[in-house]
Amino acid sequence: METETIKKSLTEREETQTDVAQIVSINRVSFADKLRAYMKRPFSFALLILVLIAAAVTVGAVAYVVLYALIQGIPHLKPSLFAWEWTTLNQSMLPALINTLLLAFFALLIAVPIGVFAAIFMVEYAKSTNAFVKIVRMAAETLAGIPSIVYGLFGMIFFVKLFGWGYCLLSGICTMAIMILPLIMRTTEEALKAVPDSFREGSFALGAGKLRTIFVIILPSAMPGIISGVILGLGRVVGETAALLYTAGSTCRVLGLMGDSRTLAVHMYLLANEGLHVGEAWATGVVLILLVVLINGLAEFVGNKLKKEYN
Amino acid sequence: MKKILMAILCVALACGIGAAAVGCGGNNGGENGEGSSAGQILLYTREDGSGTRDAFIELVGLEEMTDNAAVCNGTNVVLTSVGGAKGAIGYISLGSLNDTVKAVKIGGVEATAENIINDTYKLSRPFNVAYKAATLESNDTLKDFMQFISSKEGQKVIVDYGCVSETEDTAPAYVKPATAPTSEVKIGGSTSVGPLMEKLVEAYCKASGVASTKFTITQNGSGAGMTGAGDGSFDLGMASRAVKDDELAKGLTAKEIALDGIAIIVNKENTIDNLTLEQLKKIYNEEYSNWSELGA
Amino acid sequence: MAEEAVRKKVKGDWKETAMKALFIVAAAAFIAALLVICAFIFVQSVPALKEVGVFEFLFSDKWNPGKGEFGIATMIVGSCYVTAGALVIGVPIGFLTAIFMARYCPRPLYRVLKPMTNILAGIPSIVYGYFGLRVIVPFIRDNFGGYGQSILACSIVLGVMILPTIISVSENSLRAVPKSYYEGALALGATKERAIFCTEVPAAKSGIMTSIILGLGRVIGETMAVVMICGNQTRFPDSILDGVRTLTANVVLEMSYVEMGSVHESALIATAAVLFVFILIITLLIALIRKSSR
Repeated sequence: METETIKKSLTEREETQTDVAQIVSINRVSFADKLRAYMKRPFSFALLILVLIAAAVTVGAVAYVVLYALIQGIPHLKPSLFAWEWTTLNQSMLPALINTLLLAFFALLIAVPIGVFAAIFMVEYAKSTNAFVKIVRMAAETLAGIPSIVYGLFGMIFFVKLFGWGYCLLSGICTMAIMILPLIMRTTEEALKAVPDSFREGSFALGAGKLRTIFVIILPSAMPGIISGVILGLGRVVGETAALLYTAGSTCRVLGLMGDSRTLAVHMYLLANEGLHVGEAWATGVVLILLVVLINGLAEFVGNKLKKEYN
Repeated sequence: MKKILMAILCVALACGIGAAAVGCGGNNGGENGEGSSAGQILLYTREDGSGTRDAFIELVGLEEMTDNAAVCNGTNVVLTSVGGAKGAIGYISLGSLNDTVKAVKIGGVEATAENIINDTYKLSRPFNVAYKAATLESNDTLKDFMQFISSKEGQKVIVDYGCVSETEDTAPAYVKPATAPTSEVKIGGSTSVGPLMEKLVEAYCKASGVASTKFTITQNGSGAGMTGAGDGSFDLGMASRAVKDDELAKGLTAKEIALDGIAIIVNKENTIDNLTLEQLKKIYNEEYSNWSELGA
Repeated sequence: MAEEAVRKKVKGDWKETAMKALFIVAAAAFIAALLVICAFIFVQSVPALKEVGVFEFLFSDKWNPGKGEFGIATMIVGSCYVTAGALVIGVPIGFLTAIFMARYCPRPLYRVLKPMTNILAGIPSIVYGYFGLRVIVPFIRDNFGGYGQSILACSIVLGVMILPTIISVSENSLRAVPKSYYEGALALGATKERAIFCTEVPAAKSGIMTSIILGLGRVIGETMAVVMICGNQTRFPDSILDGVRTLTANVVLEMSYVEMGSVHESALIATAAVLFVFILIITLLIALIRKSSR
């Protein structure tokens, strides 16, 4: 008897379970159902198609640009393009590459402290209603919007001529430093804001001063965000042509800070300009793209690390 | 709200249709193009201030360049455009000529070095360098380098580059100085002369044993080169045109280092082989608008 | 309160004050940089404006440095056309792609798509320029006639260039819309498209507008990509197949040929100053949008 009732209740339960499954399957929409629903609302369907087309166009554009550059450039990538010494025969890009890295390093050396300190002031010290803060924010936004050619002209008037530095790496470095300042500040600001307030409160509660809190607690926590900003700035410097043409010069040798220097993007421009070394120019373009993609990938990676840590 | 949405949608639709049209157009494009633009003359010129343009206008005798010609910011852009467009005509430095385009004869004379030397090919311009006499005296490297340029070895570099040397056979051989010069030389100016100057500096450093790091070459245009040589920011200025009188008045000494031909180039499919200067002038005056008027 | 106590405690610490001063100086450096750039660009453009006259400079269509004619009306028009064209192409594609990425894209596809748009953002503008010259310009010339170097070519290349800006900013603002909007619309019987376009998009309006204006800023300031494919003619265009010269192209074309200290040089810097004013207006617009969205 008892086993009977148990069995019965079990089958009952099974039945109810199958019922639930049936309900789910009623709710499931097959592809045909979707299509039928869309046919009733052609406007929605048209929108869906448009969205898909737009996404396809975007993917197509990326693929086309990148593949075209690779196809044009890769056949011309030769070991001689990476020779230590540049000559008119090998058109080596290595000196330009070294100059690019030098320029980026020193530009960051100037821009990062100023940008980070300014961001610290904006986030940790100032109240957002402060008029000074508003002006600084407005200035940073305007600086971020100024086209690079205007920076180039400014660098030429200010560093090259007024300071009498001439066309040299230093003029290029200072111009680039101003150009990436707003980028560094903005990313740092965001990274600082992402640090939870409990970190600050905890630090204060343990008796740390404001400065100690900033340098020992907040900055290390915000480091991934700051670094990703720095790397983005690096990418911008590496890809810049117009501004450097008027400030850093065009000699393809590593001549130090006061020397006339050519960076990679300018190298590509000059190689192609007279129509004499177009193949080498595309090869340089490939290296340039790879470099920038690498740098951006690094920024993405570091940025994601930040997100994981706080979410 | 709905109206805004409708507006957005309309734009989006237009974009979608446009994208589709572009996508479809890609397949049958080649045939359409031939009919529509085969005979029309497409004018390509260089930017205002370019040495190549100045020389071209002067030699052809144009009073004014038409506003309708496409302005290219470099030899490469002219080459690529003319190489791709059937009705195109443009002009470039002879040294940059390659087989993607066709150079036409001017008055029946082909654009070659010999014809430029014996003055039958009229379209040529000097490559100039300019310096201050005082700089030449105080800068021993520059002095030696100038000697090298006018020497047999220097002129050979110029010929190998594709430029024309009038003195290749008569020039004296370069004599290496007893003590190697030590000064640094800053060269700046024309982007057309730049690649040639790079070759010259390289050959000079090999011949004299001077370290190549003593030289910097800034390619920032003829105008900037002449101004720089005048105010002392460059030791040697390069210009791909004649040095102007007001530049000479600032105390510059000009020296012609080579002759560069200007090649008139057309698309390879163009049947025109020969043009006169007069025709060229009329083409760039827009008196002709179609190649058929020129017998193509 | 806690902070107040801490502040009292550290009041006497010279290190704290010194560093705070340093931070303020760093922030002030931004204002200084902006002022110096403004001052130099505007002061250097005064000689040309004086010589030519502000009205003549802005509204004359004759640009002929050899004859002392400096009028940038054609270039202002050119910049506007190119910018409008790039927005017409870039904004719908970018906006719809952002919707795709935020609401339609399956997870694995997203992992591929997102880096792809970032690559697009990283390609240097000089590479875009050569790409346009080699691919877009011949395509237009063969299919639509004319020179190929045209407003259309610029619009296509710049439209692609601003895609990543528009996509990433719009996508972020779409993702920031509370999920309940979407769910509520679905519960009321709307289709997925209707839910997205009629509830989420209006909610993300300010973010989308910001993305468009950021794209606008990028287009108007682009130099190296434009100068090779815009044709650079100094006349008013009749159709989108005609070439134009933009403000940036004018500067980069002729800057290397000018004599230092001449009216021509000053006129080119004044061109940059006009560009600068455009950017100021755009920055103000963004600020206004932010204010109204709060």
